[in-house]
Amino acid sequence: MGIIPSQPVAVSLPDELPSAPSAIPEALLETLWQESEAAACGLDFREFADVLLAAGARQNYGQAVGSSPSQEIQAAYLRGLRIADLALALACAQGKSLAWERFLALYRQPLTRAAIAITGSETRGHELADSLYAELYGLSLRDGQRRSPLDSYRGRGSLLGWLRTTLAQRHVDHHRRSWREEQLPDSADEFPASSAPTPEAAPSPEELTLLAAAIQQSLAQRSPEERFLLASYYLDQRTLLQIARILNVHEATVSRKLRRAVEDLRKALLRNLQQRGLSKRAAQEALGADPRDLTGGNELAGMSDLDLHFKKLLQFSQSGAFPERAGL
Amino acid sequence: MSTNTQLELHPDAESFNAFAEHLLPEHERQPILAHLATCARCRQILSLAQDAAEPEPQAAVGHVLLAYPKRQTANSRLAWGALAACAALATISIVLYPRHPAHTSEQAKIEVPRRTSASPQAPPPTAPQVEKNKQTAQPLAVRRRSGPDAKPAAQLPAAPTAGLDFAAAPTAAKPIAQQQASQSLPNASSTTTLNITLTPAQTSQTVSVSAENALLEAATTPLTEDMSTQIAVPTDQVKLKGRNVQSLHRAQAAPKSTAIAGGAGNGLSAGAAGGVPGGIARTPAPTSARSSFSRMVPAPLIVSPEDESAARSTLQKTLPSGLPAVSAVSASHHLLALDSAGTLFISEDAGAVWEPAAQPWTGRAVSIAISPPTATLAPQNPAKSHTETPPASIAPPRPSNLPVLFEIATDKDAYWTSLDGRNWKTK
Repeated sequence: MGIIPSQPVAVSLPDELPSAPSAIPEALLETLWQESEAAACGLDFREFADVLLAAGARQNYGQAVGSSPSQEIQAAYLRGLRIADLALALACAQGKSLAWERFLALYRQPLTRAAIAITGSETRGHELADSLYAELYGLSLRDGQRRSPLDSYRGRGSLLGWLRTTLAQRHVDHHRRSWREEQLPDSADEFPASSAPTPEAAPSPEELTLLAAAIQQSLAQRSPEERFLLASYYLDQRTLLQIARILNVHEATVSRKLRRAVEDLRKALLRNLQQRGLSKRAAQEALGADPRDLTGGNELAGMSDLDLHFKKLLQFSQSGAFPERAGL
Repeated sequence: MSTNTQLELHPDAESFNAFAEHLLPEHERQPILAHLATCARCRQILSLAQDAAEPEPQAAVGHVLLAYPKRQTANSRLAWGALAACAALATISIVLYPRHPAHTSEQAKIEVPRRTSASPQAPPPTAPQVEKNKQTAQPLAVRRRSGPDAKPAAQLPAAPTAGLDFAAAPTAAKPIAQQQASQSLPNASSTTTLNITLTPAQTSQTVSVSAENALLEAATTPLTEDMSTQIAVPTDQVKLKGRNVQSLHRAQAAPKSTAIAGGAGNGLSAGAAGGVPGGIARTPAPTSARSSFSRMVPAPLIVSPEDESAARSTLQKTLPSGLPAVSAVSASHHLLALDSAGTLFISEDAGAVWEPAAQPWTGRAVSIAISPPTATLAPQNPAKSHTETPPASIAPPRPSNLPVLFEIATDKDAYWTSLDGRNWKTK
């Protein structure tokens, strides 16, 4: 079955626990023990209790940092954990061969499929999955001890989801590290023609600075959700459905919220630009919309134009308003 | 948040995953959302992870449990309507049938020669009900022996004298010869288990029959002459532990619709509705909901013990999606299972290797069951059934290699059927 780690991995507890772990009620512990099938993963009862305490303490039982959760909250938190996944992950991290057999049986195929989906290539998908396996086995050493990323799994979401997220992290980080090293095209002919910016009524540097500052300030006043919506839709080109799945709302709700966010942002931008000394017409022109469309009854066309320009505006301003450049 | 090698603060995989699965409390969700608004890397990770997810949307325990009342509501409307019609029919029949004085005070005997002689002599008025009731409730194996060539085989305990008892489960473990012997003996009315007492003073009937395969044990509450129906009580539910609790809930809810549909007079429902929402699809067994006026014969769907045990063991496992199986059926070398997110998996080697199956439906599959492609109907004419019961007209037991129909119910109240578990058609 491949590499079986022989050296136990120390389960890393957080250095400073948010609250001192209190004992789990025996009845609850027994219930969770039965539910987790931890024995099938090679964990004994004591180890299982330690795993639970560490998982709960690490997240402060789902409460805000600084608060001290009651026994009931702790119990509710523990009951809400993916207890079987947690036991399996921590048993794997401790090098239990039974757990690894179970892990491979359950997750090998889904993990490989997820890696292929993430990379978009079967070869690279297998490579990514294999490298993650090696990492999960704990081949890397720190302070003489094997470290497994499975240590950091705390059972709040599914283990499969955690694995997919970890795969995506590894893939994105690898791509961000290596994309600058990719070979450039041999000749200028191979550059895509569309990469050249189309010079169309280029605004002056002063206008650009003014616009960037206004956008940055206006965006800062929006809620995190609105900013996420704008960035996902206009910068990442996500569909409404994709955004809806992330936010766990209906697609129509995303559309409505997005439309409202754009409207509010446009008004705030106009206000901001006027406060910075532009006339209303100049501010509207700076936003890219033809003022005649917006005031002459053809608001739909105006909004459509505005929609198109919004992407440019946000992309233009992302270094300020969205500090991190898109790496992909 | 955790630091990465680039000294940037990013949420760790645990937080990301909990965010993606909508499990974070608000005080943790908002900072991550704010981070996502400004971090293209994390948006990309989140998007990739979500895109890589197979059709395994929001984890489903709550949704599964919520989906059932909706389904039951729709079913129960139909079932109650049919039940009312059945009750009306029963009432009319009771009123219209004159009571024969000779038969109301003596035990109705199973008189096979009389039934099979095709005599023009009219049967006693109450006899058709009794015979029909026996016919519908008898196991098929027993019914095959109830022809003119059936021979007495053994002396059996005295028949019960009160109440309509469907003693299903205990007889399941009996040797088949004993079951056969306990039924339909031509001249052994005092020794057969299938005895019907029609006593006006008691106004009750007693029928003891064997369940066809004892997967459902009928309730033993007496069914009096008002032909009231009752719900079959499942006693052979799969004991699940841990996260499979929801399927236990589902399995408990399932037989209601089964029994209601079965008792409602829908001829096909004995097989088709028999196992729809159950955890393990079960062969429809006689339920106490069948009155003596029922025109139904339980469709003789026979699931082999291997299929049953394969489905049971699947329910105690986790599927390749990492989620527990909440519904599983097995038949014709096809083992199908649904996980708690509604993903359908199929295995053709008793669960050793699973592969996801095509899922053309919209919404989420919530249960899977098996049913026979056709159901066998009892004779429609009571008198005819009393006088003509040649052995050739008795449906033989379904061979285990005959195709069965897999049926999937979705949370949109849609039903899909398939013969092989791979190609599904809407029902």
